[in-house]
Amino acid sequence: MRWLLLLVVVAVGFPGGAAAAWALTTSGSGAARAKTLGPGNAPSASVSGHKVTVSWTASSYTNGGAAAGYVVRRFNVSSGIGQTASNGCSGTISALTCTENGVPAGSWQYTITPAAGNWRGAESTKSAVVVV
Amino acid sequence: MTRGSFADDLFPGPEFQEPTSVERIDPVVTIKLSRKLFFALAAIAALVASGVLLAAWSTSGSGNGYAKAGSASALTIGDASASTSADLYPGASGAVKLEVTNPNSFPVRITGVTKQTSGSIASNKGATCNASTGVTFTDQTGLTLDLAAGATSTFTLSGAVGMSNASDNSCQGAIFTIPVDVTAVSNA
Repeated sequence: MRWLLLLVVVAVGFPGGAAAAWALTTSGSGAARAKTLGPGNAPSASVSGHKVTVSWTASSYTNGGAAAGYVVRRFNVSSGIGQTASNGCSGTISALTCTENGVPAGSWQYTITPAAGNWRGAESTKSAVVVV
Repeated sequence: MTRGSFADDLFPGPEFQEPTSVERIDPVVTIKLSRKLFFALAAIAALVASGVLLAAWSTSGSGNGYAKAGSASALTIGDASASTSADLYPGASGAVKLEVTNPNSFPVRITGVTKQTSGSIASNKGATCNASTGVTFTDQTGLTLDLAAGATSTFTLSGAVGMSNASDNSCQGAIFTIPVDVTAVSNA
């Protein structure tokens, strides 16, 4: 008789019995892919005294989406040496325009480079020459 | 007694007594069971109620092999890199593609995908990117990704990965492999 009682207890204690599902686990790898930041578009530049206003159009990632920021550089036309713009155009600019103040006298060209975190797109071609 | 009259047939004279009240007899049938038979029937009833016997009947009746199989085979995970869509960039989240094959003769449901604790996310862009992918995987639970018997499917885990600004510049366009553990249950 005891085995019958045990059978009943087991049956009640595990509702579902043989209907319980198989549990399966396995290991492997999923995959994800990163975008590529597109190149910068050549900016335009205009002069007012020692202020130069630089403007450009947005750059995009592959598969869409606009770049979050841009780095602006200024090149001396005579020497060809470039430097990061400053005084209003330093760092990463989230807008599509900036004005650099206190630009030294001379002939200059500007470029922009799309930026997102540590990512950089290809630098744009140079703007037309501006004379300060 | 003689058959002299109709009344004599129905009412046998001296033995008959007029009833003083009417007794109602309920049609109850009583069956006596032995103790062994009683407990045996109780056990069978309990098993049916719990699903044990019911499950056995339903699986054998449906023809699903899993009820008869001694074990289930592990799912296999293939290379889903060709199915990926470039959607990760610094500050954004993206999808993970997972190609799973079910070698069993019964359907399964994937319920969870978690990152392996010992594995690290790598890329096809080399050591510089791998040193700082900026990619993190969010464990997925409560999934209901169904996979038919013997089938291979590529599932999309939307928003399962994110990329921080720490991602190295060399990670642009990278394909990342994310070591995961997949949990599933039979889904017959």
